[in-house]
Amino acid sequence: MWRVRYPWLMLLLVSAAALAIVACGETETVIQTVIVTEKGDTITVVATPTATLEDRAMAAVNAKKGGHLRVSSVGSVQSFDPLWTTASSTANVASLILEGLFAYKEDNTLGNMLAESWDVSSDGLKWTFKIRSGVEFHDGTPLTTDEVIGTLRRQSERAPVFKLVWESFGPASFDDFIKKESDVTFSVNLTSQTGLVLDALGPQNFTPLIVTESWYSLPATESAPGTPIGTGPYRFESWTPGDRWTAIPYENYSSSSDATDGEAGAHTAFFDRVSYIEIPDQATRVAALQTDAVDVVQEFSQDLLPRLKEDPNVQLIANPPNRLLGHFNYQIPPFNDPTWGRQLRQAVVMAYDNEKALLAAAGTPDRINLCGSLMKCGTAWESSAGMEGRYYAQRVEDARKIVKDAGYEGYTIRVMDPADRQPAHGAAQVTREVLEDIGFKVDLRVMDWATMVQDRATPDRWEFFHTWSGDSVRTGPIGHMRFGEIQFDAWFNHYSDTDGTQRRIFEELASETDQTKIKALMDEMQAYFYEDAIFLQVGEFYDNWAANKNINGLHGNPGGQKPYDKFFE
Amino acid sequence: MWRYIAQRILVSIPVIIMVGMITFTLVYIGPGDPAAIIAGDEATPEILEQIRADLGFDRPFPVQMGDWFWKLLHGDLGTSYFSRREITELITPRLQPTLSLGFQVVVLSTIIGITTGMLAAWKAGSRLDRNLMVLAVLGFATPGFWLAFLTIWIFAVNLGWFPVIGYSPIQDGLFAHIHSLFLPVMVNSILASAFISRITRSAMLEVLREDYIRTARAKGASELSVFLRHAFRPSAIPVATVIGASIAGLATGFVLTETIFAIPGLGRMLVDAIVRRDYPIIQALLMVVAIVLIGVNLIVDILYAYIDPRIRY
Repeated sequence: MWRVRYPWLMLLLVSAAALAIVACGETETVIQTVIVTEKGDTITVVATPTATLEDRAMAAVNAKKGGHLRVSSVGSVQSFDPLWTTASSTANVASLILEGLFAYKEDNTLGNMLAESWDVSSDGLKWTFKIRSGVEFHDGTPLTTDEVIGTLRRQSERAPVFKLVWESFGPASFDDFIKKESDVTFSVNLTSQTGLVLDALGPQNFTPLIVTESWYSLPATESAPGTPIGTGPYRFESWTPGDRWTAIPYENYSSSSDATDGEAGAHTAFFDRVSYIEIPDQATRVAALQTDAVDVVQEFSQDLLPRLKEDPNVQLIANPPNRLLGHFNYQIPPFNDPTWGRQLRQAVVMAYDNEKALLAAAGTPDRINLCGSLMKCGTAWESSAGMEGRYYAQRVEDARKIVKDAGYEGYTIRVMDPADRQPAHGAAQVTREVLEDIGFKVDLRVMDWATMVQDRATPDRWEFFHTWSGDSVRTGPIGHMRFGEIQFDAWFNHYSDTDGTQRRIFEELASETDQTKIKALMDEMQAYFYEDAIFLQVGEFYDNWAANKNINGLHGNPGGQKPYDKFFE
Repeated sequence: MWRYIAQRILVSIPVIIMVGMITFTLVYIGPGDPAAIIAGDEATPEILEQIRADLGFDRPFPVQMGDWFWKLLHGDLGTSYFSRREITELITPRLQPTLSLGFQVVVLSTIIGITTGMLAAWKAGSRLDRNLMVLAVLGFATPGFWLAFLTIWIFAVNLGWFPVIGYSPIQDGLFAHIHSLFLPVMVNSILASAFISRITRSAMLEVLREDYIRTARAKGASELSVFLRHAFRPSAIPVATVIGASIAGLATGFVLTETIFAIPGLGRMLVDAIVRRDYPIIQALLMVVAIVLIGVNLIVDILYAYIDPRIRY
């Protein structure tokens, strides 16, 4: 009788064969819709649906309501208070349930949300805003200017643009700055002109999203308890800690009369229910999408992308780009050296291999954009001022000479490397190579993100670190103010404007209302940025979302990933 | 026996206090600043200091620790820095997934481990023995995360037999509950049973060499009777020790399993808290783990007396 001599070995072989068969099974390659833009020697490829705003509006007319949208969220919800934390998990809640005065249109300009109209006095010092009437919160409370002013008061210390406008162009007292005119009108009162008033009331970090008294009466540094009550198209339904939170359409939602445009204008809650499900592991997230356990996956690593591209039931949505940055420490040598500091920073910038760093951060060439503009690339604000010979110049020999002449050859640079955040981690590896190439020694300090957040606030623990921002997409000057350096008093890299140039340009910019002059000032600011090598602008990278193909209305512009105005086909 | 149990519980109190002091100190001196995470990139130093003061970081270390112990004595585990919710309120809904997962893994791994260990001992030196032990070695040499992804890929993505995610509570139906936890239970059981199997085999082999086993066989006892009545019980002491130790291992293993399978249990809660430096949650969960381990050790010690009548406390 035939006997198996090594049954366990046979078992392994059979398993391996079965895996191979499964792996080789059905894969029909579907080419994603792509837009290819050539820019110099750079090719940017963005996977995004080609439907226009009008196409989407037409499709929505015939859309049927219903269905349960399940989104795999990034991060675990700890607080529902977006006025207290900028965590992306909390931002998901806010985007569905709360609304602000203004929101982004698809073209990144500001559109109305709860603000309906405004007037500016002839001297430009009094801005009177009218809010939409007939709007009510999910608990039935009618929206009045009391809620608007209360929210602005709570956020006055944390919303950076609002704070800037108040401090630089407003009176000392908040009550003199923001005044109630009636239940539906309020005014912003200035002591000198600025073109930033709408930006101050619009989206920013800690955006003033209008809430009821139970929340706006709390200190800005205290997280509001309980669940969110807003004026948005969906209202909060339930939360299972560590698992999911759910929202359902608000039956009395008062939609804007403006046309739907990105995050602004009219919104419709097509889904019967929206759930944000916490799936911490990226591979599991993708598997959940492929097994129909979720409908949308917010974030996944690059190595999972081919698997999704081959799946005929999946659509990919390119997010607005992230900007990858590198920060110098201005408190300790070598980058604060009074004689050589600026040239040493320039040396790093001119020698840097931006493409390699972006690839390390984002994974594949179709997800990066070698763009050195401080303003959003591809817009009218994009600028090349000051970039020549500096951005992606790879002048390693020139940089090495500067380091040698400055007497810093062999000097140890401590680079913080947050290994749990791929963009910063990948870039840190490249930075080590570049710094060593130009003559420094590098002490790569591997840590987690939380440790880096603490250490970067301690000036003597580091010389360089990377971070990135998803908010670089704003059109206009204010969109770029989130970087501490542009505010000339950054706290985490301790930059300070040494000769007053940046402060002068900025103050002119903040006071200017003429768009042509603003553009010229932005160019001047960028030229100075490269001259002083304030920080290392690495470039842009994209991350993708993935969704089931039967969801209509998803796109890569503002509002394109929000559940409102989307529906199942 | 009751006196012994009471003594052990009393002895546990200083142990728990020591664990509390050590965990509090480690968390305190460890890197990371929750206030900086809460404040965000654009916070001013004033805001940062305000948040630190709100969280009580401006108080001296002994005051912070004393305050924490005082609250703990009153059954108050504290409040999360981030959600501002009571930790007991946050822990309660996460207990069931972890306890159910743990219970199923312990039961299944014990059954698999003891059965395969006894089979291997019974057929010691045979091909069956060698094959089972090779599988056991593979079992505890296999990285848990790799096995987890492999099972997801085969049984969820390609075969569609089990869900990738979607924990179903017991109150929604026992079958749905077991079905939703099948893959994580399988992964953890494979890993845990491997070691139990090895220990069972070696313990059995040792006992089988004893004189009284030879005597039992000489008296005509069947091989099954020799195994189950005469050999298994004496060899169960090391096996019980290993099962107890494997429960301790599960406490850390669940951190991984719950993360990969998106189970809303205590392991994931701990990971989230560590990433954010939510110190009160970290301290509370470490205390819970310490108390569970002390309890498991006590139960194992009591089991010794039950397994071996010669052991009396």
